Amino acid sequence: MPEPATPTPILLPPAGAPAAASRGQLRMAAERFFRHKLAMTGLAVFVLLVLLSVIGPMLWKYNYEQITSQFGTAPSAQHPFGTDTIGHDMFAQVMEGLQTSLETALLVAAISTVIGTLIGAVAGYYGGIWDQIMMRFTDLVLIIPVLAILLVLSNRFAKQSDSSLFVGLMLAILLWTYLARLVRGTFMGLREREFIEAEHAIGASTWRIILRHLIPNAAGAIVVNATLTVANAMLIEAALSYLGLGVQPPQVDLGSLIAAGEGDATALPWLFYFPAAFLVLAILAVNFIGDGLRDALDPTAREH
Amino acid sequence: MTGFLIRRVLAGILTLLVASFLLFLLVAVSGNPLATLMANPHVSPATIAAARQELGLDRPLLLRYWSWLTSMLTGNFGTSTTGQPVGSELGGRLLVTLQMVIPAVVLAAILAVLVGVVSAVRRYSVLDHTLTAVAYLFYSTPVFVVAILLKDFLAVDVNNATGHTILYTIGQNDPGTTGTWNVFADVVQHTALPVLSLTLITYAGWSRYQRAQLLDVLNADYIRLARAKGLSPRRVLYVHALRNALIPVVTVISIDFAVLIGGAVVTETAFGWQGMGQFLLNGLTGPVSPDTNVVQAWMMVVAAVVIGFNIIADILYAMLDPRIRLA
Amino acid sequence: MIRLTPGRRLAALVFAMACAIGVAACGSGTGSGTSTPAASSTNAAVSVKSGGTITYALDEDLDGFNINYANDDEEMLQEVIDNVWPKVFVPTPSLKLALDTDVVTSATVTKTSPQTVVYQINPKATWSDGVPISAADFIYNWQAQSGNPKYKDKGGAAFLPTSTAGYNQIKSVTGSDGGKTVTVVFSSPFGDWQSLFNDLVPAHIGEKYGWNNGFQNFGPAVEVSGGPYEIASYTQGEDLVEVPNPKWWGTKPKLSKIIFRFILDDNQIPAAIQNGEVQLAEPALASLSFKDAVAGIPNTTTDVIAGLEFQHIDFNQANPYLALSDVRHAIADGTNREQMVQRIVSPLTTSIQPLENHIWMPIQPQYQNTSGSYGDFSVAEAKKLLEASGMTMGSDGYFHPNFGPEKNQDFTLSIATTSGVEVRSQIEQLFQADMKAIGVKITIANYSANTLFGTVGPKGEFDLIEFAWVQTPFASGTQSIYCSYTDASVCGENWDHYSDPQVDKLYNEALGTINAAQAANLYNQIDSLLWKDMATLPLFEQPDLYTWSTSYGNIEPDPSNNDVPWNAYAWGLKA
Repeated sequence: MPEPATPTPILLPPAGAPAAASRGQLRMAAERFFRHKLAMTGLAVFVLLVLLSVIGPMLWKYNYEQITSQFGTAPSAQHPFGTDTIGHDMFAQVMEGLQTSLETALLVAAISTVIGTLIGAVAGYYGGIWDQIMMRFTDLVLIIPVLAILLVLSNRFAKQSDSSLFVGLMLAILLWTYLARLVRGTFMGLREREFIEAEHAIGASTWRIILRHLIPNAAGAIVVNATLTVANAMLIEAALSYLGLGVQPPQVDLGSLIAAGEGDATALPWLFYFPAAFLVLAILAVNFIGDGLRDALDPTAREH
Repeated sequence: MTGFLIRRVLAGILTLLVASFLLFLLVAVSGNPLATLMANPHVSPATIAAARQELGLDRPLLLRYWSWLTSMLTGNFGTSTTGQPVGSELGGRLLVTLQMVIPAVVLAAILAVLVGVVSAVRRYSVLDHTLTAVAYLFYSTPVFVVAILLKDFLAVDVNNATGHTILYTIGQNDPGTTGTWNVFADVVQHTALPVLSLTLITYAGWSRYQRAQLLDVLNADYIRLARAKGLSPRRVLYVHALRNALIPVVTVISIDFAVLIGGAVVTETAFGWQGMGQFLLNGLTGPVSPDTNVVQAWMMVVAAVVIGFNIIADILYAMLDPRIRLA
Repeated sequence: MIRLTPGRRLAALVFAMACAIGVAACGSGTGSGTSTPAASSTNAAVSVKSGGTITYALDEDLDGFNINYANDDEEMLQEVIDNVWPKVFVPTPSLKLALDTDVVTSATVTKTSPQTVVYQINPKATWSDGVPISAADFIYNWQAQSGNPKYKDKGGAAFLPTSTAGYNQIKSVTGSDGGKTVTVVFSSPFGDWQSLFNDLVPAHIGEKYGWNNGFQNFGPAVEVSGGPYEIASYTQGEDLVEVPNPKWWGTKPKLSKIIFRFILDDNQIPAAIQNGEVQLAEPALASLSFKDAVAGIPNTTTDVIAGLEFQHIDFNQANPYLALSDVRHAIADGTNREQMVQRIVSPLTTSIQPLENHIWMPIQPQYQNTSGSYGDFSVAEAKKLLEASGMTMGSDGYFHPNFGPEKNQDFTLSIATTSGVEVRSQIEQLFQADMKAIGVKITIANYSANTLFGTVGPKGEFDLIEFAWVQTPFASGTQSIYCSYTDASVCGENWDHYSDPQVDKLYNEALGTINAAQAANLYNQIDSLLWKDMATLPLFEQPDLYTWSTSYGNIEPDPSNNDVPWNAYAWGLKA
């Protein structure tokens, strides 16, 4: 894993913690979440960032690929974030970069959550040989170097024009391992419980049990993990771009903008600080949301 | 305990073998190390054929894997595509990475425990909020952004203020240095900024975890009971609560330590260090790449460390918490 | 002749030197100069003291140490061995060829039919292990690079030279006068004979350790020097240290240590200079941000010169649209090269203009603007040419071909270059915007240097490709780029499926012309054909940026491939 910042999702609840299941509990969780000041701040910032990245480019006078008449200029009324050395408007570039980074991170979170939940569910519910197969597979994914897979596959298969999609898919198939273990733990704890045995007794199908009972019980942990995966994916994707392995021009993401601006941090600081600030802000917002969700969905983990 | 160890180690070795096989196939089919040579119009086909033979590229894939595996088992990692022995190279690279990672992990662990304890004990104080904010900030900042800021500001400012080169921004040492003391000082000067970068982004998550664990323990029944029995708050905190709260933290630290060995590539790149990460990058994108021997050797070392430290984490867990039995 | 950057392979072809230089040096076919390289330095006036160390940042590590071996042929290695392996001729910063009289006291064409060159080796010349430099070294270097299969490397393997150019035209090399006189006889005239016998590999070491493999790792073979410095140590990925060669018979070099420090990321260099970790650097590709970053560093001077490297866009004529001359000219006319220069180069130096020649660079005296009006920026002209080629402007602002695989669709071409190189991606993005203005849709598909130069280029898997050719002072090496691709043995660098029999004919004529002025004229005739055919579109000379500490004297940037260390023997701390 190239980005050491969050190798283990540290802010997660212990595996197998009971989670909100019934409607009443859900309402209580929602109330707790909406009272969580940090989380609400994070949510507000995140929504603003999403709006900026999606609607901003439609309204803004410059397209991110457009070559404007100015180049290498400092922030001004016309170019609030300045222009880069060949004449791109940095505000348009940062909005576009933010969009790519957010899209990619959300894609990673969505896909890796599905994979992790499925693999963890199969391992935890069926146990035995299935458990062994799934967990050894998880171990494999953990130790084969992410960098190697990305480099090898991107050299061979990536079409550079949709490099962010490729990077997203790659990260997604590599970032599900922690969630798989989490879901497995939860399922193992739950499958012996009386209400599951009661379902078996009345002849409920396996899928019904998994979908109606087991997944809802693990939902809290899954949602929290998915949120933190968004933050994690943004960090890793930025690191890949810094190493030159992330999205390729003409696509931009915040990481590639930061990497391009690294040499400019002292001379043309706006090329470095704006993308860096937006990246940190976005990750911070997502982490706050994750924190709030954990507190809300998992009241027993902490009462504070 | 012994049975547990044996089973875990065996499972680890098996996983490693399968992973090495998959990785070998992946890397071997991903490109041709002789591509650049073949693009040279003055190189005759006969020479390319000779080079293919020398690198063993003319043999079937499975056979190549088998000879790699058998020689690896005798401790021979083979030679790189540029003719360097991989094994000795690897040792040096690992030391370079450890020079960065060990001090960073030690510092970050100390910092995390201190900050975590202070935050938990003085929960909701201004201090706690400040520490929380700082931790979140570092937790959300990519390591290379921290590195760039440290290089462009801290290093330049310190060196300008003192008029001497105190902090270095490039490389793990200055190989021309002589004399024990000078070499030591030189290494410290080169290591300071990378270690600081890694420490800052690593301690952040750990300190939050430490705080949460300590708060959990402080609310546990047995701590309440201890307090009720009139034990001094200090004694309760340091002897009973902290001990139990440290267990999960130590586990996380030991797992992360292993991950950092393979994951410090970004920090290595930012500071121009020639550690494990650059070794892998070079094997994958270097002039005569892909280099299966280099990539395989990298993975064997990093994966062995990861597996090993996961086992150590489990053992630590058991030793610190007598309620856990390894079976 | 040519190296690709970055990726920084000296891709083949350190070819023939069409007596690039002064008529006096070449006209009579004699190269018997009198100056040592030291004396030829234009500002050697600065007096420097003995002792001291300099650290020079190189942005790529070495693959090996034999510059004449195909796998090691790297720009960085050339810089490292500038002061280690002997050369007969050294190009100076003004691209004059100076005879290195420490190595040979004279080199003279004594006969033109068959062409015969006689070299007098300096009687004092010895390798650092005590073996005299002799005819044996010339014979070995010729045989190894002759491409003749009858000569074998150690162990019977085929020699694997970087290039056989020129050496493959040699009939015999003989020694006399105790090995100190060398007579080289050519089987056919070779105008650029002065390109031969530079970077001589020590024969006794090559024979003992092997040409292909003997110099791949640092060891006893690599430590042998025939120049002012010798390689004392090498640590992969970190540095290479050179110290004065104690057996050097010429003027003693000043610095007691030259450290070549590998810093792979140019972005890291300014802070390293500021910190005093590095005293001399040349980033792979000069950029405004680099210049700005080093501008504020005290006691540091920065010089930007036009190099021998130029950026260009190539058209793959295997593409049915790019096979049409009108379409190639339309793209060339639609490319605002002035704007590229203005935004990418001008902030660094105002001395560079759009390039109007494929073969000679403006810093060379042979340079002429041979382009006529081809390639002059005109959106209207570009659109007219596209219509003339059978395309109709669509309602979406893009042309729609009336034929071929993109019939009735947006006319779309992809452009490839090396990923992660700022200047390249800037060119692409400006080009993309220019093409949009004339109704051509450009998609960008970049690759790692290995893939681009190893696969995509040679196999012709591209529509448009952007990179830089790096030339030595000599023109004949361009043959492999522009001669008809059907002759793969010579024209291996023609990735564009370009072919013009007239160009082939002129190249063969130029190659065998010993008179410099005549040869230059022939090359310029070739170039005007290249413009008329719109074989490739030259953009601009890549500026080279050098920055160094003002404590040092006699550092002099050099546009040739020998680069700034060409006179490292004269560097020193100012007295």
